[in-house]
Amino acid sequence: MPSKFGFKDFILMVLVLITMILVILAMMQDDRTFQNLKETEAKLNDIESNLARMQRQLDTNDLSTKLDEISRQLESGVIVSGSSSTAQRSNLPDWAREGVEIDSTGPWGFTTDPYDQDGFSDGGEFTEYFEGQPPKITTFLYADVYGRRVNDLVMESLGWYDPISLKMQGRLAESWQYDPNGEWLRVKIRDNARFSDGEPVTAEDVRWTYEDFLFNQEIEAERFRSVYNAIKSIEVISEKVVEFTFFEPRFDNFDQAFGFKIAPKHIYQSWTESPAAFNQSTGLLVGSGPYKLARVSPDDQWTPPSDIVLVRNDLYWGPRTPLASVRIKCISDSLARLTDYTNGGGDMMRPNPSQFDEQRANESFNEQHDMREWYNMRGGYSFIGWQCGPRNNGPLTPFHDQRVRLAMTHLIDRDRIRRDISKGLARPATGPFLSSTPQSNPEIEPYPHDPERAKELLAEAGWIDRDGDNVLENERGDEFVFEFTFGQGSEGTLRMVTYIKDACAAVGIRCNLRPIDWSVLSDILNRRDFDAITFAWSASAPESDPNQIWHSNSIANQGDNFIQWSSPDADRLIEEGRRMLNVDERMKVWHQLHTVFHEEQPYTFISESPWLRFTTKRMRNMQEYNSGLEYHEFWISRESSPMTN
Amino acid sequence: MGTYILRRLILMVPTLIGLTLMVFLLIAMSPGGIGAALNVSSGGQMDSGTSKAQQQAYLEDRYGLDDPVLIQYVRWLGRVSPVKFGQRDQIAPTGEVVRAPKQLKTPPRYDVINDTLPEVEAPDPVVFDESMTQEEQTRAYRLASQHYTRLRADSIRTRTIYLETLGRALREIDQDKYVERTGTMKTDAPKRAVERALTESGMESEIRESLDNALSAYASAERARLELKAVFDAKPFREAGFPIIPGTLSVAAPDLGMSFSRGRPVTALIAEALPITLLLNFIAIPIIYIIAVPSGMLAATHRGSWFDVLSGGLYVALWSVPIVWACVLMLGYLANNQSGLGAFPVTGLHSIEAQDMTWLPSFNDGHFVRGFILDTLWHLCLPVAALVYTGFAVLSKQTRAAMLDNFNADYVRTAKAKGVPSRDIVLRHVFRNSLLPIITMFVSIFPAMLAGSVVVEKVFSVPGMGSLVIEAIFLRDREVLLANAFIIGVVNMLALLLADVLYALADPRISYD
Repeated sequence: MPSKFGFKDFILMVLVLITMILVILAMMQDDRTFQNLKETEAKLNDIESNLARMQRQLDTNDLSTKLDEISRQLESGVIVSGSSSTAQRSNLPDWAREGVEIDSTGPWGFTTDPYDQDGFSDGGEFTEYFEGQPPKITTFLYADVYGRRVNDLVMESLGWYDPISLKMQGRLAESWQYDPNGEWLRVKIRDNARFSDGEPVTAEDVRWTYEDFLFNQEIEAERFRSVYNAIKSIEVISEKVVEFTFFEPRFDNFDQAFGFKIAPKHIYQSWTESPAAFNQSTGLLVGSGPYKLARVSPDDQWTPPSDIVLVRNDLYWGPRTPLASVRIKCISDSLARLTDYTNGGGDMMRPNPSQFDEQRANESFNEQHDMREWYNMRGGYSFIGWQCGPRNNGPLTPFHDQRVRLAMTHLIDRDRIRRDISKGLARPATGPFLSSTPQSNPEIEPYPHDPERAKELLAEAGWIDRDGDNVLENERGDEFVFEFTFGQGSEGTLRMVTYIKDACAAVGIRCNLRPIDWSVLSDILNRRDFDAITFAWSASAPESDPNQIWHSNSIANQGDNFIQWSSPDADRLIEEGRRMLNVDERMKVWHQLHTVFHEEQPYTFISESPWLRFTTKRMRNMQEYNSGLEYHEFWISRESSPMTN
Repeated sequence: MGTYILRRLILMVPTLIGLTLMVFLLIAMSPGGIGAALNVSSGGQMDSGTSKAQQQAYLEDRYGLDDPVLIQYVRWLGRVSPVKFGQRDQIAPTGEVVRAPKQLKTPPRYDVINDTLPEVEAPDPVVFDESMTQEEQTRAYRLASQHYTRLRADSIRTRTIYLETLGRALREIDQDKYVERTGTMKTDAPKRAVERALTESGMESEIRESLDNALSAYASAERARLELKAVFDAKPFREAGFPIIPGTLSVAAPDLGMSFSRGRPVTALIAEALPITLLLNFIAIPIIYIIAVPSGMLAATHRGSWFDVLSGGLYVALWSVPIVWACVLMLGYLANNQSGLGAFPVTGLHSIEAQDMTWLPSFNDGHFVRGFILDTLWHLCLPVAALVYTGFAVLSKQTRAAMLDNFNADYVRTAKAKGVPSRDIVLRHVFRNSLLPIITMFVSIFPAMLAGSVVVEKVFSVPGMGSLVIEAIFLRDREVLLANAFIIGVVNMLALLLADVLYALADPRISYD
């Protein structure tokens, strides 16, 4: 029965055809409205930026009148401005308390001014890569370093770390009074500071952000709440003046008060009224910073996995940032990321050390890209932690003896690890304080690689090869055996632990390797279930609180002193330092503490790692600061060819 | 047939319970346990903070991780099951599900130290005035809820401090076995141990003080809970689902819960990832069929010819190329414009410019603009190629074998003897009869499609189901993994049922009655 093309088939064909034509027509219609919408949007943007320009002009006029006023005041004998100026008691501004010095750091601006540079051009989009996908970037809800980086661009806090000196400076804060006893801090907010919608930053915003937003138990911000534990209360003194009260005089009171990001109350209040919906949000992020998200509303917000696009905040109260927008692409596969970057898909990526090393000799790559390598306060250090207490409530490990730990440090050729495994992309670490920060004691020299000295130290501690089997034994005849725990997945780490195993074997120590999955790391640390472990700590501020990792109080209760190291000297110095409010005095104490670490070797500090970045040649004014990178100073040169291929 | 389908459907329930229980136990027993993610983010940073025990207590309370594993599982079942017992949930105007306030835990072993719990007076029942607007009712609920949340957090904090104090006291008298790793006392420590801690450690006043704090915080939290319960009972929101026996049994939509690694509802995550995976597969699978089936047929009709040998060899060779390696080669030679062609995009589903593109291709000032549809197809080329190339071997061999079986059948010989043209024999008789296994194969492919392809999605940064699941596995995200196992389980069983029904329909010899 041969099939015939019947009437029914014909009708069906016609129907299918009509549907297809209708779909195409609908698309064309949609395209036309879309084009119209784009044109309207472009016009709207023009109008918006014109408005912003007018606003800025108004501001500068305002500023100049103020400058006049200041100069008049100066003539009449009032001392203002300049860092750490002392106001005379009789001439205190009306917001200040009696009897305490007023501090200020002058206007906030560029550290390296891009506008003076040759060939400067304004605008353009800067694209960088994230190695992971942040699930959310909403203020105080984000949980990773990527969320933090985005928040740093959009939101501002009262202060910031000066990129070069790393001292806390005023940003939204114009001037302040800090109680010499460390109990309160009164801050005057800059008059011209405003959020990206034009509303001024007020004292009430500061109070509300801390007390009713961050410490609103219904908001899932426990991560942040546990960090900000110094501030007892915040009081609004006047529209622009706010006063912090602290629980106790502690060294980081000032940094905490100046460190948390200020959110606009008039926007976040309505969002946080339904906490469950807010907790589920992914991109509710508004602030006073140089960049903003183009769309922020609960119904239309950024969601993963789309690129994160930040646009210039045209109403920014500080100096205008040259880049028109910052785009962030999230590509988790390292090969795909590098390929996309070399294809011209972006301006900056973070290579891993082996990628960086491979490209060093690649001339054509070097012609088109800058390879950056520098150390800053956001770096980290890698170490081997020795179990100084009983492992998992069991027997003591050999490492409870300081001489054994010192011997291990002498035994391990850290120079060689840095040279051969880290490809030279590392520098010696001598303690937990990064050498680019003032906390580190510059006088401490790393121990040399000296296996002979290691053997002597081991013999002193009673570890000698007593039965001639090339393995060390103690007096009771126990062999020196330990288990070395490390995170799986990194080839560099694997090579390092294998090398250390060999080095141990050479002096008669048996080292068994124990690779673990990263997700069980915290479990192992909490149970103190290891003899020796290696990983890295990273930092986000120039001064870290040693209490959490090094004080013997942190041994109990799953504190981060997982090596269970207890030193009365260190405890005393940590307590002393935490109470000391004067920065210079405190640094002296931290230097002494650094010496204790050096002598005791609770960790063998292996190396500090630098920041590695590939950037395209068209990017300008990317200063390699001690604080990292300052995006608001970047600009894009029009001279080099555009990146599209 | 009807009873057969019903029986199969009812049998699905125990199978699903077994399946999800297995997955649940696997997550619970894996190193790190449920919610390893909660701790991961705090590692590796030199940030100081409050006591870890307190932070952990807060998070465990929030996600119900402080209960025994089986209770956690039963609670999950209760949420997923369309049949609900007890008081019905309510649905706020925002669409969020509102539940009755959770029970509060008393400080463990308080009875050893303090005889009685502080009395908590039950508040009067709340009745909403007819004149109250929805907004006012919502406001009343929010206020009560905020109040309770704050006091509950306080109660958990003081309870943890009390347990920490007892933990210290127990360590003091060398009773470490009753102390958790976090330094808190184990909640199931025997009364005797607590008594000894109280009398022998010399910390009696400290323990009593911490318990007093914990009890008074408990009392005020309990009072706030009852108040909130009263507001909830007044039904400020619309109730979810339909009642069957009012107050005890009702039917409502399953709730898959919140992912705790991402802090978002699992349904939203799946709704984002699933269409992407389906798009990939709906392009990939037809390509496999269009190429593999005809070449299988050709191989069968020309059995032993060079085409048969070559295509068979080629497909098996392709089948044996590891996907990871193929993906890397494709990236290096086809996508990279330094070392390769640079003809294809490296990652993602759209170009940056795609947002500003119209649907259809167009010419703009003499430039060709791809348009959104072409741009997406262009981005799909490499991932689809990676999904497709391994699929030919099985399907073409299957077709070939099925066709050859039928060629040897009696009816073919009869047809040949009758003088039917061989083209008609192949297409009309043999091929139709060989279709059965090919169709049922599709039914088994479909659930696998839902699971997504982990490797391809990872390398090409395609945010589909595979990426979602692999991340959830690393972070032990209970909710995402269970929801995923649940959905794939349901689809798989439905697909198998469909296959069986189709068999019966296609082959009259099969009957299930």
